[in-house]
Parts: sequence; structure tokens; C-alpha cells
Amino acid sequence: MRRFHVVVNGLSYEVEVEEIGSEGEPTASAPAIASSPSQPAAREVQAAPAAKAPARHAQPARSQSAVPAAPAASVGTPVTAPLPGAVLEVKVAVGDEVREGDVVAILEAMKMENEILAPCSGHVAVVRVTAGAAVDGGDVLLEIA
Amino acid sequence: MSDWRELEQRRKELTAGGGPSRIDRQHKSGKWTARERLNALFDSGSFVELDLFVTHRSTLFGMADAKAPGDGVVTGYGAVAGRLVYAFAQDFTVLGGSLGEMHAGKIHKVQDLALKSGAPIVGIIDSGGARIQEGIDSLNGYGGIFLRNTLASGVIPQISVIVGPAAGGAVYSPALTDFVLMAEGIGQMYITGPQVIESVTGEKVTHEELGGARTHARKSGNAHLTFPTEAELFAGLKRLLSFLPSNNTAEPPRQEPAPPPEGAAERLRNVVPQDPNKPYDVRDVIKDLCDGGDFLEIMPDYAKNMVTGFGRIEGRPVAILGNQPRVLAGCLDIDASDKLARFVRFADSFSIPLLTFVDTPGYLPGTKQEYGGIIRHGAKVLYAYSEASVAKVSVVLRKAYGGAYLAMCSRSLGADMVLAFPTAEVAVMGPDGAANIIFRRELEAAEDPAEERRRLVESYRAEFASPYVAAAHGYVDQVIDPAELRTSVAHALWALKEKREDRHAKKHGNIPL
Repeated sequence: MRRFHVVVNGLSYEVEVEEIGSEGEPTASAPAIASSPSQPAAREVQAAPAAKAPARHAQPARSQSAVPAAPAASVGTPVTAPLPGAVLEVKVAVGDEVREGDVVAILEAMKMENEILAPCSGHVAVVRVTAGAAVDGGDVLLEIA
Repeated sequence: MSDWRELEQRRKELTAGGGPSRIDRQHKSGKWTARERLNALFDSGSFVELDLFVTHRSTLFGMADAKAPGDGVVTGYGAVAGRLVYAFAQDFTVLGGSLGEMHAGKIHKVQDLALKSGAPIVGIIDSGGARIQEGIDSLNGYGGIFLRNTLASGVIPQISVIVGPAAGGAVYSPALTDFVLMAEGIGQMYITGPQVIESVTGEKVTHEELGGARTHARKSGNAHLTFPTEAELFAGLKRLLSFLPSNNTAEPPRQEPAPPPEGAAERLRNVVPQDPNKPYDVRDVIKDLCDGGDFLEIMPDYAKNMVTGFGRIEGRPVAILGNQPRVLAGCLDIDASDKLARFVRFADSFSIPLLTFVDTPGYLPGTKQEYGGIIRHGAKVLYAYSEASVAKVSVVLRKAYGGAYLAMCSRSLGADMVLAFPTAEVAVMGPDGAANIIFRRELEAAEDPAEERRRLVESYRAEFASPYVAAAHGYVDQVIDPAELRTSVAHALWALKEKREDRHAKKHGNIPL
């Protein structure tokens, strides 16, 4: 495990990088995510596409840095909640290939299980919510790169 | 040599437009020439050109010697599927298609002819904008086009085709017409271009991002239809014209009736989910209703929570609208209201019957909507439906609650026939909200409020969330088996074929804008 100090847009992040082990060895990526105090609900699941092993580190490591971190810089085309509601299901995981128009999540809002469609084709880069999360209209659910 | 040979020579020179090298450049930039476009629009050999010999009479800024065949625009009339249509096509190979005094005069002439003759007009836009050398005479030219667009509105269908730049004032003629069609990567519209925007606000944006077909189809709602190529665009334009009457006193063109798609009746029984929380695509209902499953969706990529378009039932054109439960739960919002109202008013102007499918939980909540003026935008829906005197048939598929129920062409706004599927829920509000208000005391007194609430919501749903209360009060005329949808709608339209409804004489109403 190697640790890096990364500055993005003037904000400091501490990142742990682990080399994926050889075959058969259970591995898990544990990305250190800078969670913002202003966004306690920012759930971020960011994993290497190869990480098939069960995630051991359920708790994302917090930034040790004294600098209060802002939400992580976006990494792709954001898929946003069109209206306020509750995430019923996230249908994709990081690394999945999606095509424009695929259903990537279900958002319960206005008494409807709204299908959230991919606005473009690509790979799921980040999933920012989990089932059950309450979101506002415009909140980023996931990003496609 | 003043005989037919001279005429032939002159014609040859003028129809060559800006000459081979400019035509070549036009083709290299992926664009057709004005004449190629008119050939694609009109039935073979039917186009009659007017004002071929018109040219500018400007002498300032070196214009005296400038050659401008046709003054940069080709105008005339011809037949599209045998029906008279007027058209003008700006010629980018001649002075960049710029609009000067005489260029505008040619356009004014075909606009006047189209209006007098009661025929649709198609404007094909590919122009660098006002011809600066001609100063305010070119501005006056634009003004004359806007005035004629407005006077012709609601009398003849007007369609704009954007296959080149349209910047500044040039965009307002298309905006005043009924339909704007754009070719992707070719047509661009904006009021102020990227350079001006960057110098004033510092924003960097490309021509295509700012005013391309995708932008106007998805973000601004300025484009009604977009196409990947010019060939597809002109095919789409002819398809659109096939639904439209020539003018406000003519009947919409009738075609040979065609049956709906195979198995439509059975599919219609299953398309609306029993569970009111499950979405579906309202276009599946529409396609299974129309002759041959043929539905021309208008503005398919803008305000997708509202579906608008043309289809045929028993050979006759119908303007079809529907809430789209798949998008924003089918809520009404600002953009959907604008889209709906404009479409309803077009159809009413041209005697195309309105068929409305209702499945909406209500208006989209939020400060963005309220601050954006959903009150005045939403009022357009009420206004447009109330004002429309054409045949109005509504079909309640599922949710029809409160104000949104009223807005979606309810009996109260003058619907002539209201049909409902057995899945319809016509009520003042949804069961959950209603139970909270009506049974507040019971809920407060209950030992197990959650359980009591569930029971009361269920009882409200069973009693009121159905089409039968509305039918008992006569707000719904018929509850129909979904398999009977096409027959029921066809019967209703037949029964309303000669509908006449007079209104008070007035200059015009004052629709909330």
C-alpha cells in the first residue's frame, strides 16, 4: 500500500494506492475519499474496474489533511436526479459498460418508479449514491466516462 | 441575338449561382446547394422559379460591380406529393446568401403569394445574415419577412429548414414559423455568436454547441425536428407536410386508411401497468392506435415528459398529445406546458382534431418551477385547450389528479368526448395525500397510526381512485376496454367530424406568455 498526497483544484486529498495482487489472492481497492463536511451524504463508491473481490473496507478512509475538502472533482458525464426522491435501486456498478438510454438507476419520486437513463455511452466511472438515499433534483447519482 | 438563345444563355448563367468553385466549396462543407435542396423538396420537374433575373441595386461599398445571380435566393412554387407549396432557398454561393433589399423582396413576394393562394410555405435558410453594404435596407427586408410570417400565422402552415448559418435577426423568421427543421452539423441558429459571447461574458462555446441541431432539439426547444443529413431532412419535411392541410379553411389531407400494427388490441390491454407506481412509454399506446403504427413525433428530445405528434386514424390526421410517465413521472412543468400549448394551438388553427392521453400525477414541485413562472406557463395549457374549437377527445389512461387533471383537456375545459381506461384514477388528489387530509382526526386517534393510515389509503383508493366516480358524474363519457381503444377513438372522431363551435368575435385573445 502506498500513500500519496494529491492536490486537486487547490484541495488536498490523501490517496492510498494498492497494487492488485496476483490471481486468487483476495483483493480490494480502498480508495481514500475526501468527504466534505458540507456534504455528509456524499456516498462515493469508487473502485478499480478489476476489483471483483468483496469490498473489505466498507468505511472509506477519511482525509487526514487539515484542509476541508470539497466534493471530489467530477470524472465524467454526470447522471443527475431529474426530481427529488429516493433512490430505489442502482442498476450498475463501477466499470460497467452502458449505452445511451440504458436504465442505470430507479428513482422513486412523485409516486413513480422513475427509470434514470444513461445520457451517453461509456463506462460507469463513479457511483455516488446507494439504494435508499434521498436525493434532491439535480444531485449527481453517478458519472459515466 | 435577342431571341430564345439569349434567354437560354442568361438562364444558364443565373442558375449556376455563385459558379463552380463556390458550389464545390458548398459541397465540400457537406452542404447541398439551394437548387439541389428545392429539387429534393419538390416533385420531379414541378418547381417553377420566380424572379430569376432579380438582382441588387446597391452601389455603395463596391457593390456596383458585384454580381449576384438571383440576389442570393431562389424562390418559386411547385408540387409536393401533388400539392401546391411555395418555397424560398437562400443561396450561400452568392454573396454568402446574405440578405439585401432585393433578396428580401423576392422572399416577401412568395410569402404574399403563398398567403393569397392558401398554400404552405417552406423557407430554406443558409445565409451569412444581413448584407451590411445595403445597410438599413436589408434590415427593412427582415422586418418585412417577420411581418408576413406573423400575418400568415394560423392561415397557412409555415416551415423553416435550417441548413446553414442563421445568426442574429435571421433566427426570428424561423422562430415565428410553425416548424423548424435542422440538419445536424450543418444548421446553426443563435442571436449572438460565439465571438460576441466570449468578448462580453468570457464564456467559450463552439458554434455547434451554441446553436447546433442537438442544442436546439434538446435544450432550447427551438427545433421541432432534427436529422443527421439533408437527404433525411427533406424526406422528413415531406412526411410532415403529408399531415398538414394547405390552409386554415382546407381539410387535413386524407390518406387510404390502414390497419394498426398486428396484435395492437391485445398489447393495449397490457401496456398500462396495474401498479400506479410503474412507468411505461405512452408512445407504445399511441403507436398501437395509429394507422400502420405511423406516428410522427414533434420535438421528441425536448420536454420529454410531454409527447406531441401526428398520426392518422382511419386515414385522417390527428394531433396526438400525451403525458409521458417514463420521464419526470409524467409531471407537467414549464417546458412541457410550452410544448403542449404551442402544439395544441397549431392543430386548432389548422382543424386537426386533438387527441389527448392523460396520465400525470400533477405539476412538478420545486422552487425552480415556481420561480421560473410555472403559474403563467402552466396557464398556457388551460388557455390553449379552452380556446381550441377543433374536435377534442381525451383518454384517461391512469392518473388524472387535481389541477393537472383539469389542464389535460378535461370535460371542464371543453373536451367533446372523454374516454377512460379501467386503470384510470380521476380524483382531486392521490390517495396518500387525500387520506392525510380527510382522515386527519381518525389518524390522530388511531392506536396504530401507520396501520390505520394504510387501511384508510386503501379504502380511499378503492372508492375514489377509479374512473367510475368521474363517470357517475358524467365527466367521463365512456369507460373502455383498452382493446377497444382504436374503435372508440375512431367513433368519437367520426361523431365530431362536422363539429362547429362559435366563439365571440374579437381581435384576438391574450394568452399568458
